[in-house]
Amino acid sequence: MTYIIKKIATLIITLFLVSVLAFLAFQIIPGDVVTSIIGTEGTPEMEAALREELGLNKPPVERYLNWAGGVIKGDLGVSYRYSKSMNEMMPVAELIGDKLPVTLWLALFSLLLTIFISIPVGILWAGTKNKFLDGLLNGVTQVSMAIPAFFLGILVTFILGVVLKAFIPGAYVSYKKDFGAFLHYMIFPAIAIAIPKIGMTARFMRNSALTEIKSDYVRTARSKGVEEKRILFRHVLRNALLPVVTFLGMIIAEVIAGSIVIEQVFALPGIGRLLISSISTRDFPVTQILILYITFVVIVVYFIVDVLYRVLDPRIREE
Amino acid sequence: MKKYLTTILVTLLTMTALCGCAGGTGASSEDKPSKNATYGGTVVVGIQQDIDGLDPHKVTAAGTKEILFNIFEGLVKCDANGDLTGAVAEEYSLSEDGLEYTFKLRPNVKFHNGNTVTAEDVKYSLERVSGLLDGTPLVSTMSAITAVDIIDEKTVRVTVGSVNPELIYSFTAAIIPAGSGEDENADPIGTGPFRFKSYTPQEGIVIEKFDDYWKKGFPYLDEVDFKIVGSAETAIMELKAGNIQIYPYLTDSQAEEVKSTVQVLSAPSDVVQALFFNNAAEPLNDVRVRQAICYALNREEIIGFVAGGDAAIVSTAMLPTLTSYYEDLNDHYGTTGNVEEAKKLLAEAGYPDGFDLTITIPSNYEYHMQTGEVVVEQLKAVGINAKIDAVEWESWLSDVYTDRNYQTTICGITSDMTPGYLLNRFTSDNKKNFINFNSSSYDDIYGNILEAKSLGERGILYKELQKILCDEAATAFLQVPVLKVAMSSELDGYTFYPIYVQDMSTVYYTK
Repeated sequence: MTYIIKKIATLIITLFLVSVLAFLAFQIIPGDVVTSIIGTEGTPEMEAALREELGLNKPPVERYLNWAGGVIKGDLGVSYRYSKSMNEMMPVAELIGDKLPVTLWLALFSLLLTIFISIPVGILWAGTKNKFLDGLLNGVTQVSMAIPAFFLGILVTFILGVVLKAFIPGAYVSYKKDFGAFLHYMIFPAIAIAIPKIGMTARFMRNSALTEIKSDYVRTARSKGVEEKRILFRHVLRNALLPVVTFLGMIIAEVIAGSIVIEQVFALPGIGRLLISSISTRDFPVTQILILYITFVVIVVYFIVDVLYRVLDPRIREE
Repeated sequence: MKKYLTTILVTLLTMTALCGCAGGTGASSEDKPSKNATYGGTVVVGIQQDIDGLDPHKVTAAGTKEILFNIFEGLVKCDANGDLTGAVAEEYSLSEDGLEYTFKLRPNVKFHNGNTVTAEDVKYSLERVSGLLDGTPLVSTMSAITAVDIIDEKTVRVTVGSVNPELIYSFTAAIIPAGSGEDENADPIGTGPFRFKSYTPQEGIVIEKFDDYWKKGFPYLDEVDFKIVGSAETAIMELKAGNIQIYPYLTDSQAEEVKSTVQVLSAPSDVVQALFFNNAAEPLNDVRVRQAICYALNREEIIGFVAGGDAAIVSTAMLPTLTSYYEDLNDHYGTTGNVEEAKKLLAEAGYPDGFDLTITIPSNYEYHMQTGEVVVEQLKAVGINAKIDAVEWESWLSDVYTDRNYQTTICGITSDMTPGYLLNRFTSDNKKNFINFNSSSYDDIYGNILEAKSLGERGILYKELQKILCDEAATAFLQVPVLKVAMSSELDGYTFYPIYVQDMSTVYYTK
């Protein structure tokens, strides 16, 4: 119990610190949201009216407290930039709610790909005695991890989109419009996200399995004459998975928080792209909430993994 | 004394057609529907950036105005020749002293909500943009309006505080239903050929045909989907795949790449690109230094590099297509670079070995960035050690444009069709004078223009202003780039305007 309270306290303190840092960063970076909104044709009257409207004529501390007070009460504020109707700005909650499914589906797809490919590959890799295969997997996983994300995105676009014509690059379809077409398009960015994760997880799985293979219970199983495949999948896999769960947790946190680069390359209107555009347009309310969202996801997922780990491995619980 | 719009415009505000439609479409602002056209269909237009709002009086981005042009109309409207024609107003007259505009409304113009436009709506809209409603003018030129009076159901009189022969262009400001600017949940409602359907941030805006549009026979299309493209590269791929039908922002190399699959139309843009000097910053406060840079630039080479030679070289802030006002000053500094003259002037100014120079460029404009790279090389030849400082657009707006804290910058000024718009920014106390140009003779002549009544008189004075800018080397003007639009071969009717708009009402699928 004290453990959970401690974790929640950490969460709150971290969120507070992150929000203060993000707020400060916005005070420091060049470019002013008011001059940016009114553009090159603004008059001093328009500037003053807008500053008043956005509450930017108040001192920074007051502005921060107003904002934080709203968030605590569940009011995430309204965007400076995105309109909902002619006279009303888009509430941040609605804006993010609209973009979240894109990122979550992307996360789900890439995770499924990662889990279903990397775990069997990793365990078989650990069991193989074929030097060539070992070398090949070593090379391929190494390369998959080394390619920068944006380049991988372009590569997937080029090979699957331009050469094989499996999809039309950039032809994103909204999930509200045609869910099937949406899912079809999402497969390709998911592949681009999954490739390096598969490489990493497979290597991790292999190393973990190799350690297990050396243990006594494997030797016992072998001496009993248990088939090698059965040893790998029945005995080694379960034990070797434990550390991999932690690792997958980190990956989950990373993709749910938004895959900024891949969303950019594939023109996906998700959380990552929203973050980039709201920073560049100085849309403070949106940026601030997105940063808090990402922080929240990372901390909570790590927390869940932590708990899960304790459930799976009684040895940790006892400590 | 009542003049009808058409005659007034021919005599008073003659502007020559900018429309140079290549590609053989021959589209024009005909008032009659084309015989070759079919009705119906949906067109997807690729756009590069998200819109900055849905309130026609408040949006500032050119990328938003070009879309809203289809939804909203003013009392008058710009046509493809750069002339004003009646829209919500059928005709107007101007009083002898130039201080009273009387607009006669076109009968039965309908808003998208089905209501007929009334004098009340016009009064409300004009009071909203001029600041009479709440003290904040939304269109700066309109702050000249001192009163809007309803004469009868179909007649509105506008009184202004000072004479401005170019003010009529500001009456293109959108007419919206009375009260809609305060209504919280109002959808954007105008009188244009298309009505607003939906907007999704980061994805785009969809408009649909307005059946009760006052101009019979228009528009042709049922729906237009302005879709935000991820990047220029994906736009080209989508264009080739037939996923988008119109993409209006091709670069020279992209035009080459797509011309085998789609039509490429082109016309001069309404942007004057220049290497702007901060006239108050060292060493650019010395006229000889500014002149030296003007001499150093080989503009033939610049347009060769960035536009495949397809742009008009200019040496003034005026668009060559505004023929009544444009002064060709290209011979003054030459267009191919004069290194000796530049070096001589630099030596006289006390910089025989050149100096360090920073060129601040908003990095989202690929065209300006490429121009900057050529400029840097050309300045090197005369000993000036220039470097590019690429900044975000938001930083550029606040540091360069608003705070004027820079040495030089490359950007473009987009015209709004009035010559005054292009030249008034160089008067010394103008808020938009971001180059800190300060010339009392310039200010005096500009003052005379506001009093000059005839077009001929104003034309002469505007040309004098341009000569001053050139002699003083206020800025190194470079070029007027060309617009290149990709359009599916099944479509026709695309119309170029001398202002930056995407008029979808004339576009149709061919039989």
